[in-house]
Amino acid sequence: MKRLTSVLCAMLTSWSMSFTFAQEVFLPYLYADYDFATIDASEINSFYNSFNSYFENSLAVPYETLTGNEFAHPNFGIGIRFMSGMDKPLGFTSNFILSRGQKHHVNTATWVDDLQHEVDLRIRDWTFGISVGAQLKSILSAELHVTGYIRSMLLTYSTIYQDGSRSITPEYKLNGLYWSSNVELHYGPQVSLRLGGVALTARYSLPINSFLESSKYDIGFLQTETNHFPPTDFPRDMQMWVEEPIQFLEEDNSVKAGFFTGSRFVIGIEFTPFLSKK
Amino acid sequence: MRILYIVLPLVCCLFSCTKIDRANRMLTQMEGEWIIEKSERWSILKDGSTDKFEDLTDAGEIMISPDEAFDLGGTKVIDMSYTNFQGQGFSISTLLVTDEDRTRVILKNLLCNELFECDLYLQIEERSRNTMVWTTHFFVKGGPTHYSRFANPTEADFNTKWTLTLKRQ
Repeated sequence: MKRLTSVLCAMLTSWSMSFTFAQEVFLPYLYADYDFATIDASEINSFYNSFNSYFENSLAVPYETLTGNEFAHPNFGIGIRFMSGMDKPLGFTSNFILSRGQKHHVNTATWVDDLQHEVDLRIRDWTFGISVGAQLKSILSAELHVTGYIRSMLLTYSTIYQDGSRSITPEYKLNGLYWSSNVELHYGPQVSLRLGGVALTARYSLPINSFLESSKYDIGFLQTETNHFPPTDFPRDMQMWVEEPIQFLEEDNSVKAGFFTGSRFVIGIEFTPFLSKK
Repeated sequence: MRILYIVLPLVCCLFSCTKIDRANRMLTQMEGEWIIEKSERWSILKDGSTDKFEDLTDAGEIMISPDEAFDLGGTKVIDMSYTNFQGQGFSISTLLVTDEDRTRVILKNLLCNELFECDLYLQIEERSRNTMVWTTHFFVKGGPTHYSRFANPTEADFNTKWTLTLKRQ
């Protein structure tokens, strides 16, 4: 509620401050998009594959592996667009957006005695984007964007008992809440088509972090309030986690947050309810 | 107008940084004297049926107070006395913490005094100003009840569930 109030206050402030200079205009707007986000699923799949293989004889239904497209999600936010040279065929435009969205994916394995284990992976994205480019008759624009994502991830590993009760307490050692986060910087092209107070946008982006391979291995999924010996990280290799915990620690064999990134294709809409006078 | 480019992200960042404070606030709201109004324990059998083997009222007391020794805002002291259906009980004084998602309370070193594997986790099923319901599960293998040791649930003979209903005094 507090967050919603602050966003609404910021929007009202920006509208009350909207103004126009001759052929330059600032347009605050409401923003919504659908982000066809992808991830490198190999990391989390290595857990699923190793789990399925290690407990092969005890599982009735193993975990499914992910394709990497499971985390496409809508985002909602606000933005402000600056346009100049509106009286000329070719003008300048720049844009800033701030949005937030989330998605969760549930994967379940069933044991032979009908008890289930569930992985609920929730991803929350804060998006900060800036773009600059050229506009044609204030209708069509082509821009280059740089977009930052602060992605927080919560993996909830729970046991669902035969009577339907659900537990995230660690009577089975993997149960718990595993947190991680990832900061990504993306770049790419963006186009938009403006029709009055509404603009449709499309952008494609690639993560700059993907060129820095070493940063992928920095942060794992951790439980902060547990004291298992060892380890508390969410495992990539189930067999090593169970049988060779010391080696697991030495090799830092946990699922890494740096893999939960990938290219994105975003289709969005900018809506200006009170369009400024020219 | 340019100031908005700076102010808007900052405002959002500030509000998203309040997660830890919310956990601390929840623990502070729990401070006070509570009675264990109900203590219920069930066996969960492999066919999905349950067998309730404990149904106690007034099973003990809990006092949650500020942690004056290491008051960093994230811990409280819990004094708990409890007697089960067999008349066996315990009385402990230990630290109470919560996870960042405020879904569990953790009683530090309740089960033993080792460095590892000694905390008892209780899932918060219900929480209001004057009522709380905490639940935890165990598994039974070869007679004894175990906690936090195995990864394969089919190794258990059956599981048990313990639910505490607390009322503020």
